[in-house]
Amino acid sequence: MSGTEPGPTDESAFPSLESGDPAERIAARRNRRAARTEAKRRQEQGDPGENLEVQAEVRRSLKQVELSKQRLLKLQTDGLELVSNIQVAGDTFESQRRSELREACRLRLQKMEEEVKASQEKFEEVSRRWRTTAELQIPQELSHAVNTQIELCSSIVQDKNTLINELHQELKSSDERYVKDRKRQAEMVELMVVRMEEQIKSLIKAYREELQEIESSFDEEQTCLLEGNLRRWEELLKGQHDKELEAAQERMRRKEEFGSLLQRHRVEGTEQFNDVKEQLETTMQGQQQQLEQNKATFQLNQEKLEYSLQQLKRQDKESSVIKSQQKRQIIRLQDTLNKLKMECTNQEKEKQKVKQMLSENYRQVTQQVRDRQRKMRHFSAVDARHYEEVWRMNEKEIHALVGRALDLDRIIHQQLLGLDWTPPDTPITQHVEPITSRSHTASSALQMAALVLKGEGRESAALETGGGGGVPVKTMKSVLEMLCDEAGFLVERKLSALLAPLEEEERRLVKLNSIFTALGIEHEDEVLQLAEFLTKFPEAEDPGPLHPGDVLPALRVFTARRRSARVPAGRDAAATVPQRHAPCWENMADIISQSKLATWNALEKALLKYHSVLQERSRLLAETRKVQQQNTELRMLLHQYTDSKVNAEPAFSSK
Amino acid sequence: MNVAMDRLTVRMDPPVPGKIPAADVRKMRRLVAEDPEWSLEVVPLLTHLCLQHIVQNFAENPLLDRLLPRHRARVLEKLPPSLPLHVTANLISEERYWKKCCMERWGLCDVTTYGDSWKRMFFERHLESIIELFIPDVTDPTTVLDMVPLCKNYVKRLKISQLLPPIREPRDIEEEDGVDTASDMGDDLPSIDHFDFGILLDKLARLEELHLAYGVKGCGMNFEWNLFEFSFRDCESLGKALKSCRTLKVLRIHQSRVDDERCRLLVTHLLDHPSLSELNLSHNVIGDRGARALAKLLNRSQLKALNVYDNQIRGHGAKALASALSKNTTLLSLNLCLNCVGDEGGQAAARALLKNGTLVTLHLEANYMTEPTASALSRVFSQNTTLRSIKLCCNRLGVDGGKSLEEGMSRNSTLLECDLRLTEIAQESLCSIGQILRGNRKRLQRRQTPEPSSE
Repeated sequence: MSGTEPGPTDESAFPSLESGDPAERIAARRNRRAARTEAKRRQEQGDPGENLEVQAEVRRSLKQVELSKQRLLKLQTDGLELVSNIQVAGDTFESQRRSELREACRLRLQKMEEEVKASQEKFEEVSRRWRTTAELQIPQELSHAVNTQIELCSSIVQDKNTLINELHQELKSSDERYVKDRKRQAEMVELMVVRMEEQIKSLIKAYREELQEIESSFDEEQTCLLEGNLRRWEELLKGQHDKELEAAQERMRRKEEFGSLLQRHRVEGTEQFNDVKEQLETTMQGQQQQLEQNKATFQLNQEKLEYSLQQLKRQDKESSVIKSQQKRQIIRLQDTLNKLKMECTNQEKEKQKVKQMLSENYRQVTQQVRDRQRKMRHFSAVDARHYEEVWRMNEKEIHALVGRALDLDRIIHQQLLGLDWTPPDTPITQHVEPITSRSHTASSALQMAALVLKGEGRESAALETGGGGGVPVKTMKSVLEMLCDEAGFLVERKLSALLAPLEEEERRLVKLNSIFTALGIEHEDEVLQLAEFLTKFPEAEDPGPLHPGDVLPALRVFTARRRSARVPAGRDAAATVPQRHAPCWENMADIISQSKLATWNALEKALLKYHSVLQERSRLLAETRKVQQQNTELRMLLHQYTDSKVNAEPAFSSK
Repeated sequence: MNVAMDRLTVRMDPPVPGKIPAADVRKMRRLVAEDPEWSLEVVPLLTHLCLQHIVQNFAENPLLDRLLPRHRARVLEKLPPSLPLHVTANLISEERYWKKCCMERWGLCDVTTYGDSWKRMFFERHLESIIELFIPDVTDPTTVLDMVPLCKNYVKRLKISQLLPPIREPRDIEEEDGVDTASDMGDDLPSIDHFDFGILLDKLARLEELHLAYGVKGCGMNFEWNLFEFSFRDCESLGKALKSCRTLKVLRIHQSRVDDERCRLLVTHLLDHPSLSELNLSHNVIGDRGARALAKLLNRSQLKALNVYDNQIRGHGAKALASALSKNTTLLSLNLCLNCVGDEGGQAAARALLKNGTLVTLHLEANYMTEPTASALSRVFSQNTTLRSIKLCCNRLGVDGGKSLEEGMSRNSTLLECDLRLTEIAQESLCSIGQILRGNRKRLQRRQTPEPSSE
């Protein structure tokens, strides 16, 4: 098949695939294959380095286009010039011809004018001669003249004829020239046509060439691009293949993995399934049994219920009878109820009035009570102040008295007796507290609480002041803390809100303060009392740690006891104070001892004696002074008397 | 339509009415079992038959608008080009049909010059042939007027290359100048006038171009001067017709022996024409007075191009045109080729160009201009920046004139074309001028790089 039919392939340069002849189709296919392999070979040969040239190729093609454009433009303009040259030449010829024509015309006109002039002259001569000839009488002369005239005329005519001939000649020549010109113009037109055709042909050729050039450049470029792209495509394809292979392997691996995993899961699943199944079956059996039981109970219940239903029905009948009876009774009762209600409302109204009256009374009474209380408070305060003032005054007085007594004692001792004075060992300036200053002790209650809470060991003081209440500090602390936690309701809500940002210690302290005020505890002793009470509250049981739940009842009991105890306690306070202060007062009174008093008495007696002596002496002294004075006065009188010049007369006159 | 239904109906009825059923018995049958090659495919569809019928009777019953588009295309494909125009003219707009008509009538045609419209081509050429073969007093004017309603929407350009004169008695044929006799004799010789455009132009609502040549084509040895006579009355009627045609843009009357008087008459009618933009009066015998009239027209119209190629305008006429040009702002192209303007006219034109800022193209070939014009034009070169192309061939500008032109060109950067063939200018000057022109052209090209140069 291969070389058997070279004929058809040679004959038709391009064997068609659509040809009817199978041999030709085969040849066409073979050609195509050969072309492909050829292209591939060429591509492989011209492969390297072509990628770099792509850019340059692009530029080259554009340059090619530009070059072609320029060349074609030049060709066109050249061709146009070549063709238009003929037109220009024709124009030149035409203008030359016209100028020549004009010139010839001008010459002809000139010539004709000259001719006209000449002929005119000749004609005038002829006409002039006619006049002379008319005068001629001699026939010969006349004939001669006529002959000359004829000659002249004929010459004129001849001139004209020659002119006409010339003109004819010119006409003929110009006709000839016209024909020649026509011929030449026809030739020129033909030439123009030929040139145009040539130009067209050459231009077509040039266009084709340039087109081919451009096409080839573009083809080259395209092949370059194609090759480059093909190469890249293949590279990418290869990469893609590799990737896909990898992916496939990975997939296989994972598939196996997943397969095994699946198998495992399946086995596990079946096992689980079996277990569950067994379990469920057992439960099902159990439930079936239960169901049976339930059924039995259900039947039983049903029977019971039926029985009870019958019972109920019977009861229902009875109850309906009873109901009707009761209804009647209800109606009756309703009537009585209404009556009673009426009464009730009446009474209520009355009671309301009474109540209002009573409440009015009550309000008045309470108002009075309040007023009384206020007055009482006022009076008590005033009394207290009075008392205090009186106290202070007495105190001051007594202090002054004591001081004075001591001073006197000292003076007596030092000056009169000449003994060393020793002050008494009891302090004179001891300050006696008034009974009303109790805030000091109240604050000390809080202080004590603070100290206890701080855990500072003031155990001794606590025990000391506790009056035998042996409560250790630790217990105190725990009791106070518990009190703080359990009796929180005694603290005002606002206060707790305000306390939130403070420290634990302070918060507790402030809480305790408010609790103490609420309970009415003001004194340190009372705190201790409370603590003791609380620790010993569950009186029947052994004194263990106090249960937080018992705090409230304990407190209630405590407050109740205190309330009952408070009234006498308040009254006793005033009475007990003087008792407490009596030794002090006695002390003050005994500041001068009995021995000293005896001394003083003895001294008094002696001094009284000394006093009387001294009084005597002073009386005597005064008498002496008076005598001395009388003496001096007398002496002076004497002296005056003696010394005066005019003794006689003046003496008599002065006497 | 449903094809199956078609077939069914075909089988029910005889396919072609009028045929004797007995003539082809087989067509009466729904199935032809004994013929193995018979198939339904050979039976023509009813639609096809109907369409065929429509085509056959199109002249009497033109059905087209009511057909489905594909059927219409089929009908149009099959319509013969010989259908009467009054049927087809305003009905068929399909280009293929008109192409068929054109090809049938004139063979190979170039449709590109007709705006790629075969219909326009057909009607223009048809009307042209009617007018060209119109013989006054013999042909009935209705032959032309009948065409008007058919073709007025399609005709944009009329290129009349000949206008036949009326047939005259042999005794009337005289060698005298026809103009005077015609105007003198008046009614005695009514037959000297050509086709009267007055009856046609105002009816063609889309006419834009009119090309006229009052003459006879191919008269050969039967040449007589009066065959090429553009009579005064022709001129008058043409002028009025032109005035009535408000859409006209291009008018060309060439090779018609238009002289000063006729030119003036035409111009009086063309003054203040609303749309005329191009006037071509080449190959006539217009002199200075006609040129003055044209100068007047220049500033009283929207003329963009004036062509008076091959006339007899001299210096005075050129001066008048130049003075009009110096004030004009519309004219782009002026062709004074092959006149006798001379140096007087050339210098006037140069002076006008110093003032004018619109003219782009100027043709002054073969005008007997010499060196003074060249020196005047050199000033133009150095000052005018709108002029793109100037042609000065066939003028004896001489070596000195060439030098002054060269000097002027050295200061120019806008002129793209300057034709100086056969002007007796030295070769060096030509070379340097050509170089400058090339430089200018390149600069322009560079400036318009985005769009390819369309030179």
